[in-house]
Amino acid sequence: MTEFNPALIYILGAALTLFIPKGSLRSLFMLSIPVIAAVHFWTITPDTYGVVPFMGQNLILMRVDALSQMFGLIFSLAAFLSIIFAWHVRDSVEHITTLLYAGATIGAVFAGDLITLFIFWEITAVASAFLVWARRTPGAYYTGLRYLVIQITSGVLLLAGAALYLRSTGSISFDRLDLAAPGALFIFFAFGIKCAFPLLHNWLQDAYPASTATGAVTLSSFTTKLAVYALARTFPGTEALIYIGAIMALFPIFYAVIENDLRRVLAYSLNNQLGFMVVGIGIGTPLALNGTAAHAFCHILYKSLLFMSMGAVLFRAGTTKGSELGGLYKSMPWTMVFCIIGAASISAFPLFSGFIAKSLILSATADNHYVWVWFVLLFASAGALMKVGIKIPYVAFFAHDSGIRCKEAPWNMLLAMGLTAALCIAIGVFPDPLYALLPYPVDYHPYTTDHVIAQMQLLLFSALAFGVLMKMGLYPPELRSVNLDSDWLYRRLIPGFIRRVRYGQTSASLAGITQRVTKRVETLNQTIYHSILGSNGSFARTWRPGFMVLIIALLLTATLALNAL
Amino acid sequence: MTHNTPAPSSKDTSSLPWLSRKLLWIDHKKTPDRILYGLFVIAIGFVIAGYVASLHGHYAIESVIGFYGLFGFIMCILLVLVSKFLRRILKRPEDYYHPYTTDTEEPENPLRDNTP
Repeated sequence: MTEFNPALIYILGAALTLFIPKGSLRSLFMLSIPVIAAVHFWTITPDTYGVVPFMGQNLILMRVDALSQMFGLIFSLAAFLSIIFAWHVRDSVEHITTLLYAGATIGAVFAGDLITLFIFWEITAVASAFLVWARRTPGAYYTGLRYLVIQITSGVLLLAGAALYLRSTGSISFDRLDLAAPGALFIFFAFGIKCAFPLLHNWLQDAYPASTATGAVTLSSFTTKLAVYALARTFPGTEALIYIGAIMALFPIFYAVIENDLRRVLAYSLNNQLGFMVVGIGIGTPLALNGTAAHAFCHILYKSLLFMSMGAVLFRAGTTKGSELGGLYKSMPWTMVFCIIGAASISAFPLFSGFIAKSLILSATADNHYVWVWFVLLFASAGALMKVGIKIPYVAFFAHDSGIRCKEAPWNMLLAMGLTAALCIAIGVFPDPLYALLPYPVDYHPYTTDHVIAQMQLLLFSALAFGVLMKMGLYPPELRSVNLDSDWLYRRLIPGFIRRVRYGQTSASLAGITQRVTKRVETLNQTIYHSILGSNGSFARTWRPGFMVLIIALLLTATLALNAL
Repeated sequence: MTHNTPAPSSKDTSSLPWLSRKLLWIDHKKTPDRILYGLFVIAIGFVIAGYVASLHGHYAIESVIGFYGLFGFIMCILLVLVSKFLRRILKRPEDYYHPYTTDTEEPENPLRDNTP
């Protein structure tokens, strides 16, 4: 039987890695594994293989079709590039878990039934937690634990859903599911956790910035896109996904504007990009699903590139906090160039990879007349430029000179970034080879005059807005701070409550909580009141004429736009 | 926050990498304004191009001259203003979750070598 699951190559490779001395030889060996595995699954004729009877069911260990081959290919590419990026790392734990994590993700992609999927799903959870722990600090330890608990919860939900589904339908096939089917909702939320649905998202922004310079690059590629793949397999055309995706595309951009840690900004933007893919799955037409697949492909590349550039900054400058950085172009000019290429790709500038993928999803949304979703995605595209496309390169490499002078990134990081950047541009300029990989036949031309002009207008005026706000001093400065998000619930509220209960102050504490909540609301009211109407509030201040003119111009254009509607 | 090397005097640029020396004009006082004006001219150029090419899409509003530009501009201003407001509510000190977070930790990197 030669048609085995490619995950076996990774698992075997991970075991052999231990016996090879650390250094270039080991890195070279690791580099060969994604190549061998990719050749293996690429040369197989699409079909199902490795059918194993198991407790009255048939496990399908290897299902090869256009969708799984495409995701397998991009995951192999991501593994290959992140191994080059981590060439200098001499940490066996990171080596082995990287291979197991990438391997299990690819294994899950080729899984043909829910049980095989579950097993690989759990391996990705455990292996990736070690990448968070790889930093080996107390903070990373706690973050990794939180991460692992959430990932395992997703796995448990998946297993519960599969069991319920099996009992009522007698099938464990990993294929199109109806949301109303018994157990399907569990499976939906299992995928939803890993896909970072709104309110289930915070493990992502919590864990990725806590990882090492190299670990975050690996993490950014696999878990969430595996969830996108799983959703595309099981729930295409589920309308709820359109609205979930739209919210996902929308809310992280607000956080990204005020977040200080640039790697966390990237995590928020990752969340926003997933929103586009989820909308594509929700629409579920061939064009939309092609858009999701193409977007996942391009996204993995440019998101890795951005995480690589920030990883290089972390590696050399010692931090990725916006408040501490600035002026790094004087020390790391090539990293800056690659970062800007990644930023242009994520902002979907024509001739960069984001453009040819995002257009598919936007066109599909418009074709199916989801007007408001289309507006939200358009806003999210403009926001993507604002929060990542400009903010990341500007804050890290330009802005005010922080005085940090360090070496340029090491050769392996530059090589990995250079290769990824070249791919981003190549896909943007020649989209046809990527379109040929998509699961459905493509008849789509991204480079029409309409598309290019519309996109350039959107991007240039968004950039202009950034410049104007910067010049008027209205852009929020980078401050050493954290922002509350849904994780507050399980990091502050619930632990605090449990502590109180344990010390037997339930009744007293209930009154205490009410008191504190009332006080908080009061302070909030006062803050809002003072910021708007108080003696230093916006309405009491003398406004600069320029700003007034801007406001009036905005009001007038808004009226004009409303009239045109 | 400590950094290994103090900033060399701003006039001494000979030690910088080749590519960085080519880009020093970025630090010029007038550069931000020049970029802004340049951007404005190009942006207006694309509005005119949109008019000439009579842009049309799925919705009537897409045919409004400069719709995409206006939309991007207004929404980005709104995005930042709303975020600034949200920051008032959501901002907490960096050590809010200490010690259960890496936010307050200095990254330790054994291979870090900061001498330029």
